[in-house]
Parts: sequence; C-alpha cells; structure tokens
Amino acid sequence: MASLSFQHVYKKYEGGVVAVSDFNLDVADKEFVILVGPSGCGKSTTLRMLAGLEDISEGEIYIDDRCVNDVLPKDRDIAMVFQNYALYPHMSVRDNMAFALKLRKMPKDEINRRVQEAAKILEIEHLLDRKPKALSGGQRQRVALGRAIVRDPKVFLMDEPLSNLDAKLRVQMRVEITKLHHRLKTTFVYVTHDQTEAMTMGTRIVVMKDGFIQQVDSPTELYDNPVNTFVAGFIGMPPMNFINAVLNVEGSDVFVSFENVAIKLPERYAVEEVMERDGQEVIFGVRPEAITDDITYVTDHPESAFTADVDVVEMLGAETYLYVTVNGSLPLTCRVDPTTSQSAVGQVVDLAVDSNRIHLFDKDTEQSIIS
Amino acid sequence: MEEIKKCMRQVKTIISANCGVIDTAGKILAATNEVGEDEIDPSFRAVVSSENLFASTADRTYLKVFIGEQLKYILYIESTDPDAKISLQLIAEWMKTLVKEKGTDAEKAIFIRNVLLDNEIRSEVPMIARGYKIDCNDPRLVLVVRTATEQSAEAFEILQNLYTDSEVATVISMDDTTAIVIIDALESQVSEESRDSFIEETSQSVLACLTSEGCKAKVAVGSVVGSFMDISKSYSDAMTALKVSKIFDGESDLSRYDKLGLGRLIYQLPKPLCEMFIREVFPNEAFKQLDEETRTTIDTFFANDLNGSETSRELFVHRNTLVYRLEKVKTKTGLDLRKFDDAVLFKMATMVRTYIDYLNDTNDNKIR
Repeated sequence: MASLSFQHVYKKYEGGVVAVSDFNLDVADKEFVILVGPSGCGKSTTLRMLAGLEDISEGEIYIDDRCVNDVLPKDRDIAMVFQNYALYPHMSVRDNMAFALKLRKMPKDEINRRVQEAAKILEIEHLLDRKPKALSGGQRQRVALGRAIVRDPKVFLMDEPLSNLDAKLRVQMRVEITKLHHRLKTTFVYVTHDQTEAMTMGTRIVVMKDGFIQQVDSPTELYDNPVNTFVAGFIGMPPMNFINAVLNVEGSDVFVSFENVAIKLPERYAVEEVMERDGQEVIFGVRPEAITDDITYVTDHPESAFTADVDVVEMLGAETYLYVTVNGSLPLTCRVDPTTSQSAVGQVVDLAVDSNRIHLFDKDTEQSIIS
Repeated sequence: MEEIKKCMRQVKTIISANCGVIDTAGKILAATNEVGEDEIDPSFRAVVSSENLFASTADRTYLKVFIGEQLKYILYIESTDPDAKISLQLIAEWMKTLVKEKGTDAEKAIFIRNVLLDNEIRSEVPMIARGYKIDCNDPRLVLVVRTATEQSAEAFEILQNLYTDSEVATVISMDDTTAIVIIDALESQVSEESRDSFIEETSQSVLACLTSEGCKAKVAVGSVVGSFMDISKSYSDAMTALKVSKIFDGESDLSRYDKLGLGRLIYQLPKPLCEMFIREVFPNEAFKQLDEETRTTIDTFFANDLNGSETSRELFVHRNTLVYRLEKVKTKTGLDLRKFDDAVLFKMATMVRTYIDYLNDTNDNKIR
C-alpha cells in the first residue's frame, strides 16, 4: 500500500521529442487511478517512469514520500502487468508465479504460501501444475496477475493488460481486476486507451493528450463536466456532437444558433462569462443521449426543438442510434429509446435537445466556457 | 560462490550438525544455518597455521581444502565426534566437483561464444561440443538480449535463473551489454507447425521477464538453424534484426529477423540508389515541406490501413479535415495517399529517407 506523487515530471527524448510535459498528480493509498488517452499521449511512458524503466528528464516521483528518481526499479516495490502477459512457456503455472520470489531467494515455504494464496484469490489452484500452453487466454491472464500478486507490492502497475483478449473476455477480466483491487486494497495505476475500461474501473481517471494532462476527475465528473472538447469527445461512445454555433443574448435569455436552429439555454447560462460572448462563435457540445425524438418531450420543449433528416437507424436492442442531418449539412448522432422511437430512414423527424445537458466550449481554446 | 552456497543448502538436508565454508581470508562464505555468514571465523588463523589437514576447537572440527597445490577453502562442522572428519572429507570432495564443474561451465561458455562469432574451426566444433555434452544435431535459435551496461549483470542473472536446471535453453554473456539465449532442442519442444507462435511466445517471455524485474532490454530473434554448428548464422541474423529494428522501429523492444519486412530490403540497398529513389519520389525535397501534424496524420492513416473513418476517429478530427490534409499532401508531393500505389510509394520513400538519415548519422556510409 502506498501513495504516489508526480511533481512536474517531464520526459524528453533525444531529438527534442517531449513525451510527457509537466505531469502533476497525487495518488492516494489504495486508489485505482487510470491513465487514458490516444496512442502516443504519454500514458505508458508515465507508467514506465514510475516503474523505473524510463529515466525522468525533469521533476520528481515519490512513492510513499520517498523520491524514487534514483531508486532502481527492483527496489521500488512495485509489480507490473503488461499487455503482453507472456508466461514462461517451459515452466508450470506454479513456477511462473514463483519465479520472481525465487530470484529474490525467498525461503521455499514462503514462496509456496504466497503462490497458494494468490492462486486461491484468482481461482487457479487447479491449474498450478499445468504448462501455459494448456491454458486459455483468460487463464493465462490470471496467471500473469498472479505473478504480480505474489510479490505483495506496494503498487500495481498495469499497462493495457486486457488488450490482447477478445471482447467478451475483456469485459470479464475488467470485473475481475476491479474485484482484485477491492480485495487487495493496494494502489493500482492502470493504463488504457479504451475509455470504457477507464470509465468502468477507475476511481479517478487521468485523461492525457500529447503528453499533457487534460483533466483528472472521477468518471462521472469527466462525463458530465469535461473541461475541453478533447475530453468531451474522448469520453463517451458514440462521442459528443460538436456544433459550430453562435451565442445570442436577448435580454436575460441566452440562445445558441446553428443551421437556422436556435436553442434557448437554461437560466444557469445567464452568467457573465456567457453573456459577454453575445454574437460570438462557440462550440456547442451535446451528447447523443441528450437529443431525443420522444414526441412528448419535443412538444413540451419547443425552445430546444428542431427537425432533421434521418440517414441511418441503428437498433442495438437496449438503445437506438439515429444518424441525422440538420439543414442538409450538419450531421448529428442521437441515442434514443427504442421503445418510443418511431424514426425511420428517409423521414424528417422532430428532435429536441435536453438543454440541461449541453456544453459550451470556446471556439479558439476549445476549453469549457462555464464549469 | 553460488555453487558453495548451493552445496551448503544441500548439506543441510543430509547432515544435522551445522557446517560452513571459510575462504582464505577467514570470511565465512556460507553456513548451513546461515549464522555468521560474511563474518570472520575466530579460529581461522590458528587453523591455517596448523600443519595438519584437520584441526579442532572445543566445539568445531576444521578441514583445509586444497585445489591443486593451493589452499582454497576451510570447511568446518560444529561437532568434535570422530564421524565429523568423515563428514568434512565427503563435503570437501563434493565441493571440489562443483568448483571443477564451474570451471568447465566457464570453458563451455567461451566455446559457445567462439562458435557464435565463427571463431572455431568448423570441422572441430562437433568434437569439442561432444566434450561439453552439446548435441550438435538439434535445430537452434539465438536470441540477442541487449541491456544498458549497468543492468547487464542483473539481466544475465535473471536469464540464467529463467533457464536454470532446464534443458531448453543455454544462456551466455557475450559482452558488457549483450546476453545470448540459445533455444536448444527446438524439435522436442515444439512441432514445426507451431514453431512460429512458440518463437513469439518465447521471445516475448524473455522480454517480459526482464522488464518485470526492472531491466530495460531489447530482444532480437535470429533465424532457426538446423544444428549447433550454424548458430553463428542465427546470431548474425539476430544482430541484423536488432540493427534494422533500431533504424526503422526505434520504439520496438522486440524484433525478429523473419519479420523485418520492408526494412530488411531497404537495409541492403546502396546509398546512391536510395538517394536517387528519394529524388524521384520527393522532388524538390517535397517531404520536408510536410509539417509535423501532416506527418502524424499520414502515419495514422497508414496505421489504419488507409481507412479514413478510423483515422479521423483516432486523430479526433472531422473526416473533412482529414481529406483536406491528404489533399495538401497530394499538392506538395504529387502522391494521393488514398490510392494504393501512391501510398506504397510514399511508405517506401519515407523508410528510405529514414535509412539515409541513419547512414548519415553513423560511420556505416564510410564502410559501404
């Protein structure tokens, strides 16, 4: 169990490439923190710096108040699980799990105890004498986790550990790892490019882009209050609709206008930082589920209603995606209720935006206008 | 040292009395009960100055162990019974065998290193190999493991432990940054059909093993050769893989000679031919006119198999923005990357450019 602290950490490579810039983060003991972002955003590099596999160009990393910049990786008391969980093919599961402990010349009895305990946690006791080739993908991943657990580390570092698994197994292992965190009560730092993994597993999520932290928040906060268009677009599937719009103020009312549509914003938008942008262009963000074709809602909310042509309807069972075009040029994605939706391809439908769930971003900085 | 400790651990399971080994400076190297290790034995001087092979104190019996004419170790047992001397003699013989084996291991490693570097006379290899109980006839595969100098000893130890007591691989140290793993007995380990996935699994596991122990390493895999006699070819191929991967895929920690793709072809081209090709594809240094954003866009477009939707999703840009950027590339280079032929040409040209840069940065161009 350990707390972590990154203070103004940079990773600069020869040739001037900066992989991580001014990374500041405090991770509490027993927290499950997820680093998420697209390829090349610096999340794995950050993890590898914490593990000691990459040198830190600037700044300090602390594990439990101890600066580990110059501490050898093996002395950091961490365990890593990788995307490629590569088990040692010539060893049994038992020997795979015991290897790191044997390397540390731990007494045999203690090794056996730890291996048994980890195997019990992961429910792989019956597999201990098998060779890796006799295991399924999920079982192999469990053994890989077991190899980390037996070390009894202060911190678990996981770098895309589920990427090699098929979709079904990934969902299953996602739950297993979350349970493991509850059970082990240890600090977890987990890297993924998959926003679903991030949203479902982490207690806190760090969204990164181009080496910079964009936002650190709980999954709910990230989803509901993204600080910029990148976070807003990265979190959520299908992604948020971004619409180039103009802000208009009429008395105490605020409207966003686009493609001959004017949507009245709720009263909470009648604040200085919004009102002062009268006549200016903004980016209007609306999540697909905040647009509905429910006829009752549309009738009750004429101030946020508009029409669109339905291009594609995707029925997914529990929800339906509508791909529509407003005024012949603005494409939007809507997530609607299949039990009430009557929309069909080729129709012109009446839609309404739930204006309590909209977002406004600055056109130039792409930062959220009100927090 | 490790052999002596191992010997003491085994002695512990046979003899109930505590035993230990002292070096010629008086330091206790290993003890069955691990008490007093690294400390100086209080009776050491008296024992050494004694003219007899055996010496006794109130609670211990000592035996001087000579290897050749030289005093190498002093054994002790915490007993003065008459049987104590017999026990010490037996342990001494055991230790001598282990030390001799250690010497043989070192000689074997030198021999293997020489075979890898093609420094042994080929016709003599099978005979010498037999002496070291190496089966020449089995197919082999060489893995080159490159680490930083300060981590090489640690990496070597980890690899030795990974394959300790196993007959599936031999680990030797090549120099202060390189360790070699020779995968032995390939035929008995895996069928020919599964060989490819076995090689992938094995090389990945070597890399993962080192990384999880905190060693930053690069692993290069040579080609499978038919016998021990040809391991120099596998070694040379692995070294080529390491080099080619460094040029074209600097971030990759694992490279396989049989998976070098275009890199292998380009690596063999002479520099003038490369330069001519670049002048043809990118006249007026058209490539240099592409900014960083455009280059990233192209890389992502290629990584997504020229799929525009996937590329724009990954780059978080609108599809029209992607189209605009690709049009810009077309204007500047004359290549429409949405067309397969142009995309292939562009990809090859960028790799050739990388190779020319590498040649300019190293002394290789002087050699060629």
